[in-house]
Amino acid sequence: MACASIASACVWTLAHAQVDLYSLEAAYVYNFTEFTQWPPTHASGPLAVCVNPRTELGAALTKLDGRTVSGRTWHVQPVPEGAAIAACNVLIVEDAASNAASKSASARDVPILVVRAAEADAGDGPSIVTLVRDGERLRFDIDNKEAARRRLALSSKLLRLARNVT
Amino acid sequence: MLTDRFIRGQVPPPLCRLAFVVAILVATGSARADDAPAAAVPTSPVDLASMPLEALMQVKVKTASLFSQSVAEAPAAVVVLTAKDIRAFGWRTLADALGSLPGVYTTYDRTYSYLGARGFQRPGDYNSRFLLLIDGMRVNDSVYDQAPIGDDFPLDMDLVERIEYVPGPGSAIYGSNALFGVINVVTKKGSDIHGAQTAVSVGSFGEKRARATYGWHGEHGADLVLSATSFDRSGQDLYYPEFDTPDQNHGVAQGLDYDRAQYLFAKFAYAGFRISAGYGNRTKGMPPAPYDAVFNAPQSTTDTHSFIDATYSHSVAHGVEIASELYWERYDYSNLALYGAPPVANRDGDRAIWYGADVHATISSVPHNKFVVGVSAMRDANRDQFNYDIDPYRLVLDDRRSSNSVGLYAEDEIKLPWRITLNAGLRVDHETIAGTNLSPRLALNYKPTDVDTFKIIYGRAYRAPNAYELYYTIAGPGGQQGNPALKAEHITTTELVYDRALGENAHATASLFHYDVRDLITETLAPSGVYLFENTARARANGIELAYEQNLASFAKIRASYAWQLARDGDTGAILQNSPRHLAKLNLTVPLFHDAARLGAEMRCASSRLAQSGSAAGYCIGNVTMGSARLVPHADVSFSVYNVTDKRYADPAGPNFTQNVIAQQSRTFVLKLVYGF
Repeated sequence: MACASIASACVWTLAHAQVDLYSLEAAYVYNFTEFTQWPPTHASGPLAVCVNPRTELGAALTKLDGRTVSGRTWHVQPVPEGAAIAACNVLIVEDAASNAASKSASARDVPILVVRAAEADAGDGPSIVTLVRDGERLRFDIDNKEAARRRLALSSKLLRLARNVT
Repeated sequence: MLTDRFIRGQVPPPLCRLAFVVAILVATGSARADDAPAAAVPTSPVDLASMPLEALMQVKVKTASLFSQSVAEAPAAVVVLTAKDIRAFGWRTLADALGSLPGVYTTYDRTYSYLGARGFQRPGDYNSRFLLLIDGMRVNDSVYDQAPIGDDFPLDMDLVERIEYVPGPGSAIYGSNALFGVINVVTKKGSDIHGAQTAVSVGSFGEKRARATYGWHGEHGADLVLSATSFDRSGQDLYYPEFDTPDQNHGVAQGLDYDRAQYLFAKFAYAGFRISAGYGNRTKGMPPAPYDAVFNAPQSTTDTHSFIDATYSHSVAHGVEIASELYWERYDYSNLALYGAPPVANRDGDRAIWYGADVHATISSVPHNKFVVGVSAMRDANRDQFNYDIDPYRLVLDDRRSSNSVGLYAEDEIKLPWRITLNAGLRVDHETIAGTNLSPRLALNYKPTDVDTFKIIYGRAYRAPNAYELYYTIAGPGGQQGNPALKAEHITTTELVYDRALGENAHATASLFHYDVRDLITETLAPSGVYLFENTARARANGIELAYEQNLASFAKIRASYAWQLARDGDTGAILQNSPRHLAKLNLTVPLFHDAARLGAEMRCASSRLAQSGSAAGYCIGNVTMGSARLVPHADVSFSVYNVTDKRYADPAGPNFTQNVIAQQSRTFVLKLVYGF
């Protein structure tokens, strides 16, 4: 035990070199929206990002409110219930509630960029992007067929950076 | 004596020097980085979002520590071991991995590995006081309720994504056997493997292992894993002084420490549905000749586990998710040995078949509450035990039994004001033999600040008597008599846990515990000269566990723990057998050569443990694994040295052994190559 404390005393100051998972996930989602093209019917007005704002990921995404992405204003809102979910452009799935919403009849065929958060404890609804923690890095898998089905076009750059593409 | 030096707080010099040198290397390494201008990595979402995606993919995430924020909120001191840990430390069996946990120790008798926690591991008891799960499915069999943690565990460790260990009573959710802890082994997904993979390893004493795995991930969550492993170890000749006579080969058991196993695994998932099937078959030679078998004569045990497990989970409404599970399992065991003079070959075995279903709902729609309500039903269709002499044929035992059990459980996690969370759980079980048992659990979690967490946990758990204790009967003096009147064992545990986050990368935890086990099923000698199991004993223990973890600025990860426990017989006050007073562990992973290679070093120390007569001395063991994913393209090469100092140490033996203590494995080398296509 004495041996361990010697090492720890020297390296305390490098604590900032690591980033909190939720801030990083929020940055990834922001980037995903830059590389996604919505059909003309859903490409105007604020970019509705639906997530539970009370979770840590929700809070991190809310910090981006007001920023512009592809000419649209980022706007975080809680996951709506029922038919109102069709108004979402992006849906973050991280728990049972958002998972259920992603599979609901109102949301199934709408052009929503469904992003599954890393370590989401949420059953298995269809998602377009799945964030995965790979040791110390954050990676993502893309289901391009689901994106095409929802009439969303993902840039080839995004597909190239993905870990797995189906 | 080594024991005395250890108890006075000194660690044997050679291993401490190793840890110290590594620590200094790490410290100086990071001091150099400290001198260079610190690369200002932004940490706020706004700043990060301005970075291009390629740059974001190079940013390191704070790694999930053993005691991460979410774990601090869990209603127990949950510990998670990951696939990365398994690879870094070269753990080959579940016992190797579990032995790194605070307050946990393993014992090996050259056949089975036994698990002890909080100072409790009665030599001869078959891990029936821990519940072992694979992806949530109960693995303990219907005859011995044994948790197989050695080579008899039916999964290759390379298929393990993580191991979740919840110490303490878990019957409030899982029912029987979760006295000292619940171990859940989570398997990898096809997306984790992504393609074909082969692994080959060779090691000392003729150890060879080959594995072929295929992992695939498709749309809608379609996921497939297929894997096959073959393992063979010739072992070595072993010397036992207790058998050192001219007619017993001067105490040398020749070529009997062999170990052969095959493992198969398949898993398919789609949307909310998942089905897995596994098979593990292991044959181990038995050199120490337990049960008064003829020494240096063929004696082996074969353990075969097979299972099919299907689960389905879906949301029925907003905030209501239902998960259902159906499983079928089988465990066959067979022990071949020679007894008596003139020696007669005998076969002892079992056939255990059990199947069941579980349905539970997780309701998170009520504000500040999270409910889990469930029902489990299990049928032990075959609890068969047999014993016969082979030639001349003589049937000694052919016992066939079955039983049923049903359990109803509910748990609620309530977020109360003043940063307090209350977790209350209760399970009611009714079993054919053990009758009705109530297992409550209460945990209070208080987070006064962002860095401090206090938990108080109270729980009761039970263990139903297993078929071996109930029905195994061998007539004659020195034989055994079954006892169908046995009742369940009960344990009551109270824990106090304090968790503190130290900065962003370190965590410390201190836990105090007290437990009381009643109606312990113990083998006693009846006046007729026959052995019998009875609910006679009682055990009490107090202890403290201290654990510390730190990520050394993503350069290295260090985990250290110390546990002190005092476990006594509740009636006589005598210290329990195989109960170490002190346990200390150290696990260190260090990247080498600018992340081109890695080093995993661990040290495990245990103080002396009482045996049937005398004791097994205290010891410290070190293991080192070096690996690199860059040495060979598309492959990961690793070299491990287990028991680096070739320390001679021993573990207390069970009552069926002539030996008091069984000598453990000397230094072993293993070279492994994992190739991914």
